[in-house]
Amino acid sequence: MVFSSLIYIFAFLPALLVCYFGLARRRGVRNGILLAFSLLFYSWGGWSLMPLLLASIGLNFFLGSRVAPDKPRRKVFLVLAVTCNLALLFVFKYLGFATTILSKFIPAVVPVEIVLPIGISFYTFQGLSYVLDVYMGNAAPSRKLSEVALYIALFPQLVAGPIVRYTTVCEELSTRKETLDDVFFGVQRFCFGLAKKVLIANQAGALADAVFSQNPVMMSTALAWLGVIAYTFQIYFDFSGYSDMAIGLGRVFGFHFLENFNYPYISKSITEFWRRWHMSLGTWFRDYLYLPLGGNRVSAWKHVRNILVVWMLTGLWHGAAWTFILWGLYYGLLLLGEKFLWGKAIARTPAVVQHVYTLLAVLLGWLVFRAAGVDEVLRFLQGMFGGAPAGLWSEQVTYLLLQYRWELLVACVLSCPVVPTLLARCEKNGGKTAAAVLYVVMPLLALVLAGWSCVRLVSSGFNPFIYFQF
Amino acid sequence: MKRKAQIVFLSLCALALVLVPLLTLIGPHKSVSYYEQRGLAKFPELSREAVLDGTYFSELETVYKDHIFQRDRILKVNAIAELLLGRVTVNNIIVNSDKLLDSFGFLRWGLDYLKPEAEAIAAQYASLNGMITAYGGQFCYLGLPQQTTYFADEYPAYMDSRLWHTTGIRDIFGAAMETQGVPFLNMYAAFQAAGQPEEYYYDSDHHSSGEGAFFTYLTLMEQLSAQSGGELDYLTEEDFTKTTLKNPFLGSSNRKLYGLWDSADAVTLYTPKTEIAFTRYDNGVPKNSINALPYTEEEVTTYSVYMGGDVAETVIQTNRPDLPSILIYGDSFTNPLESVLWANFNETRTLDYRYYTAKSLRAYIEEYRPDYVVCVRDESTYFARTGNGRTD
Repeated sequence: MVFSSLIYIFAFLPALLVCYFGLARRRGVRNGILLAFSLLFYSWGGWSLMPLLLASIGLNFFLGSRVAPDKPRRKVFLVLAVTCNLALLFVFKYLGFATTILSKFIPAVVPVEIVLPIGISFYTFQGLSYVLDVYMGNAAPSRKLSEVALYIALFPQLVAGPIVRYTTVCEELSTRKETLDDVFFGVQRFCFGLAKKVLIANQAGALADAVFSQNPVMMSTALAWLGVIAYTFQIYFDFSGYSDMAIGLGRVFGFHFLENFNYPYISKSITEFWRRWHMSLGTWFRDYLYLPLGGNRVSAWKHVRNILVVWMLTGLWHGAAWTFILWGLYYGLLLLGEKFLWGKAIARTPAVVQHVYTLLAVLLGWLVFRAAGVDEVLRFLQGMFGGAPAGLWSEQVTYLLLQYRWELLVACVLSCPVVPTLLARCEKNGGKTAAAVLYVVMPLLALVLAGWSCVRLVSSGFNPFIYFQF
Repeated sequence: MKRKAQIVFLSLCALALVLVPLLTLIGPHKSVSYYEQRGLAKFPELSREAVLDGTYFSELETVYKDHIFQRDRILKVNAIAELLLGRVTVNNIIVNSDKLLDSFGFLRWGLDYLKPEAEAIAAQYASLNGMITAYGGQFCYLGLPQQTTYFADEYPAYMDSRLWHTTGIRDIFGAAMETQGVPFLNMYAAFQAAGQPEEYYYDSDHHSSGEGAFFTYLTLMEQLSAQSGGELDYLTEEDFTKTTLKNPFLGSSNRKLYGLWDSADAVTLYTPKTEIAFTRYDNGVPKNSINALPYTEEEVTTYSVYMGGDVAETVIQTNRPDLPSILIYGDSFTNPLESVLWANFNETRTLDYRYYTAKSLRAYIEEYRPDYVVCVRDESTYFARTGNGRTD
């Protein structure tokens, strides 16, 4: 199930809210209701996926209790936990890819096809986060299986993140309070996230799909650029919209997840971009892989190795394909370049140059991410930089620009922190205007946008979700 | 203010979250979507496999989406919003033109496949033509352009009318039929020769209009008469009364816009000035009128006024044994044509192989041996081998 579906909004959510707020007062009962609904949410993709999730929960609960600082042979259990989690991920996500590669060299190897369980990358990393936080002494092991289960399976972040660290929510699992303020802002956040996803990302996605599915001989330079720009908007509004919905829902139920996006497209360097994009994944890799490998407090070549390993794995985390590995390494090299080669020089240029440099690098990155293969990357690059078979401009570009002009315009504006800046200004001025904006205008806008999103959901069959596949 | 605003906002949200599923559950449920012209999803059957692989739940989502409370109104609201946003296309219909035209996208492909395909299909029609002429009958393949081809010039300059494709199909298929000696009536050429009058096609429907269909009728009768050495007499324009209904008309393209496009289209009917007694049977059931006329002048009419819409088999008999018989088969393009054609024949049989399943075409022809057999196809279906493209 996804948040941007009618059955979620008008069946699952009302049922959960009635049960959670209407039938239960005690924390344990409310947690039980939340866990039951989370498992129902997950099983919507097919009950066959459930045993794997339950196994992951059981495994991490058991091993988590054995790796606390006061436990004997805790390193052995840590290695076991890491191995088991990564083995699960490898089998269900990468075995098909690995056997396909091997079969090219060893004829006896037969490529296997395994259906990718929804959200496996997210819940495996959350399970690992629990074990590692306990091992590092950042959190005490939970005595209740139901709490670990709720942490890993909590539906707002289960299938598409953000990756919530155990330390972020361990206290809230047992002692949180749902307040009117939290529910109010949580619902608003959900509405805005839904609008970002349905009204902007889906439209940008339709535009991007129209370009990427075009016959190569019909590709013009402008069309190639438009397709990549549209995908750049799609992935941002899709994923950040989903994160908004997850954070908003978490808040409704008293959880305070950390932010996952901070206007990444206004960055002035790739280093900054990755501090603003999918922050929960970036910090996960930093804290659980980069720093344990030694981070930057090692020799130069080991530092280079650490960066390349982390980024190759970041790419691979997104999917089992060469393009994802290439995408990860691309960012690894860019970050190394900024660290050791051109970073200081870029920082001395005017801000506009820094923005252009970053956006160009990010656009090319998304091209690699979106492309079906290396061939398509090369074809698009050729098209984008003047070698397009259909010339500089094609009729399709005119049509797409006219058809999607509003979404492109709004996407441009909302990629910059316009709304938070205006709100901050209002709040700073205080008085009745600020109150009116915060408590009348914004909720009203949230209702209108949520209503419009629902109208669009009823009317359109196009509702993909990019990060669902990870 | 803060607390009051929060309570009002959350109450409104709660109301929507409770009312929508409740009203969806108890509200009236349709099985067909009038505007989309499709059947709505039915409740899925519960099975172990469907639950395990998740198809049961995804089908359930489709059911919910298809039956949500006030769905038609919601779809209409969406179309209004899209029109207000000034889109070029809404629900795949080009709306920033004087006509409502289908949007074909921008894909292009080579036309090399057309010739062998055309030759193979023309050979099948040659065989059918041979079978009919063998018993003394006449066969004619009547090809009609679609509205999108007829008004190709109306497409915005940056949109693709697919004229490159339809022209290729028409020319190559026509040549193949000529090579095989199959009588082929190219109505695109006939319309062009007549100066391509605008009123021959609807602005908001993909079919030709009543006027266009009547012109097609005259051209067809001229062709059949020529094929039979001038022996076929037929009613001409002076023999018919032309009536244009005042009712609003909902064209097939406008239907996709929920009737929001302001259209001047209307249904035009041609009725013989001299009354001709007839009996009509639709799939064996008697019917006492040729067209399905509206009861009031306010009632919204559609293309299905002609002959009452698509019917698997219609038999009209006028009890005039001295006149010939005719079989006409094809898609909905045949309907307005049939509504005037029958007046010239003792027996008129019409088939629509999208619905008719009782007999194959050859078996049907063999059984009734009509004097004339007319296959009506629009240019987009020349190469279709199913439905009315069957020749077996």
